[in-house]
Amino acid sequence: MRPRCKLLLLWVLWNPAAVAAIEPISTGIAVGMAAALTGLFASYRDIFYYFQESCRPDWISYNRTGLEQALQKKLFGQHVASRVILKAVTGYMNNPNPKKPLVLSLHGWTGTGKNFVSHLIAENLYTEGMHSRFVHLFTATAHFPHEKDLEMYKAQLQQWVKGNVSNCGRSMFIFDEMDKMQTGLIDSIKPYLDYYEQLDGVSYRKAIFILLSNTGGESIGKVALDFWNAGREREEIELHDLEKALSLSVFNNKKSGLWHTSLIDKNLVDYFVPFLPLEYKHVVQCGLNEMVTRGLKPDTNVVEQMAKDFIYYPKEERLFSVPGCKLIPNKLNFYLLDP
Amino acid sequence: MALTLCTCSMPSLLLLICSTNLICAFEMKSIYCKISDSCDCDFSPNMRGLEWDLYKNLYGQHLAQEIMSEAVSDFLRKDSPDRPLVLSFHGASGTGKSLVSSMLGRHLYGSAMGSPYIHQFVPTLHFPIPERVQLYRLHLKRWIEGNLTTCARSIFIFDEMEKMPLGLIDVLEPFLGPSHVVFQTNYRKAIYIFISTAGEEVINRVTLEARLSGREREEIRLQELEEGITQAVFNNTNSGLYHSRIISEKLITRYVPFLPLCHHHVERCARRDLCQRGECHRTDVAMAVANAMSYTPADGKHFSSTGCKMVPAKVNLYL
Repeated sequence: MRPRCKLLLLWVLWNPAAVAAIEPISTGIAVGMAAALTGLFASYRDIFYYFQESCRPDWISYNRTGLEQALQKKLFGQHVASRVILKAVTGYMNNPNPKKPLVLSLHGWTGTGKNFVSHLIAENLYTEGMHSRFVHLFTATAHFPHEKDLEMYKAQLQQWVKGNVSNCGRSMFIFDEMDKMQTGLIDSIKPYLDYYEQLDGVSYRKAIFILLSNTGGESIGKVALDFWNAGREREEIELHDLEKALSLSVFNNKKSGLWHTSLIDKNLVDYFVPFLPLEYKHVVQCGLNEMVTRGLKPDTNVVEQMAKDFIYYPKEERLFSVPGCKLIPNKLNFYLLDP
Repeated sequence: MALTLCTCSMPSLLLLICSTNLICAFEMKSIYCKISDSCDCDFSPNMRGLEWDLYKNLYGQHLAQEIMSEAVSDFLRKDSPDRPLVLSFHGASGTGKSLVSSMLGRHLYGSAMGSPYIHQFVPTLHFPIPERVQLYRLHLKRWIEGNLTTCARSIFIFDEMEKMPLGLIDVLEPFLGPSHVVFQTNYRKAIYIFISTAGEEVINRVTLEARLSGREREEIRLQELEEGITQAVFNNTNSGLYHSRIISEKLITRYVPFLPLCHHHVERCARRDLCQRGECHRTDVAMAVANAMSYTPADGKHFSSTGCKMVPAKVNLYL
């Protein structure tokens, strides 16, 4: 190395072509500028983070008023759920040292807004919303379809959660269609939802887990129907009415093999958020909101016509929409194309 | 010519010297730790802090407080104990078992639970497949041997013992007894903690009987519970210690029962949580939270079925 070093130096100093290229002043200026810029960028990393999403408060910050307004204006017919969600998320985010990750279990009939609410939470927590690198959505039927590969899914899921939480403590994991997920799979992530300070060097206390399922939808619907039959307002339904009904039918039924029971035994779910089935007036509100989102002038007649064609249950009372607010974007097209 | 020689090799030479020094330093420390019994490895026991923590932050567990402070201070007093400290925590969910183990870790090691000398094993994560129990036995043995050699004063916490594959824990039997010393490393300075819900029926039954007969909770003594717990754990296939030699050879130093919590304990938990948030004056919230928890048994409703576990979540709702 030493003789080569020497040789190279001698060649550079004596070779006329090389000497002409290495003009001292401009070279000096160029090298000086490069050093200064490197120094600037190295110490001012915020420039990099400004453009690239990273696990810092600029990209992850909770917007309480945003979530409150979104729940009020865009979520229809879920007075219990919006109150619980707002309090749960606000309380958790205000706590600088949570003892366990936030685990929300949203359950209720299809089309009542469970996915929608998880989107709202993500949008008011991460600047990039659902497209953030730190929000992960798992759908049981899509991501874990085959029963025979259960062991592989378990290992993969554990690795995925661990890797992402080590990368950014404030990660969000949304598990959709939990009732269709195999029981063993839930068990594999249970330790992450628990009260451990850290597991294998990673702390999961700042993570958020949202579990969505249709479980208990019938019991919730029954409570709403009972209220209607008794002539009481929907808004009079409180959380404890729903909790009581659910605990009898769903949670205490250990033989039902539901995923809930294994999580309830260890009290890992912080909040059970029930979603009520939607009525005719809520479908109309959904339809009007859809028209406004598309930039059209809201037309009550068109939306009412569409809402009337939905299927309602129970058969006689025809109170609650079977598909909830689902299918509205597509159905609206049909009614808008009126000549 | 000599100048270029110097400029080429000087930085690399400096680097070489520095790195050798660092490596030397680390080697010296680990060699010293290996041959000397009085190795620090971040160990700074604070018994007063631990007792204060237990007194202040653990509600309704007079037995656990007594046994913990007695057993741990006895163990730490000896520079060369004759057997490792093996504690077995039993009790229902939410009564404070994991809390006490993390208190122990915090007050024995400077860097609390993040210390590399505290090892926590959770079966769902570390031993998920029951068929591979032989492989896990091998790994566990090697892990424990390796870590005991590095630091004699290690802490090993085995959580969720009821989910532990059968026969796995028996691999620890040689380490827990008074006879295992290898290459002059003192394996008897370690602490082992087993946490499980096995035996909770016995504990709940005794506590309920005491309450119904009008006895004070603080009058319950360990002797009433120990026999029942040992039987329950030894004979229960779901306890991880089913027919284990660890119990038959009496290798467990102390059993620590955790009693189920009453309404006023839950209220205290809620009040502590509120104080942490700066809302100490909201006793109405604490009462509402305590009332909102579910209590067992169905008639009497004496004990909270979830201990203090759901308290922070409920406080959020009622605040």
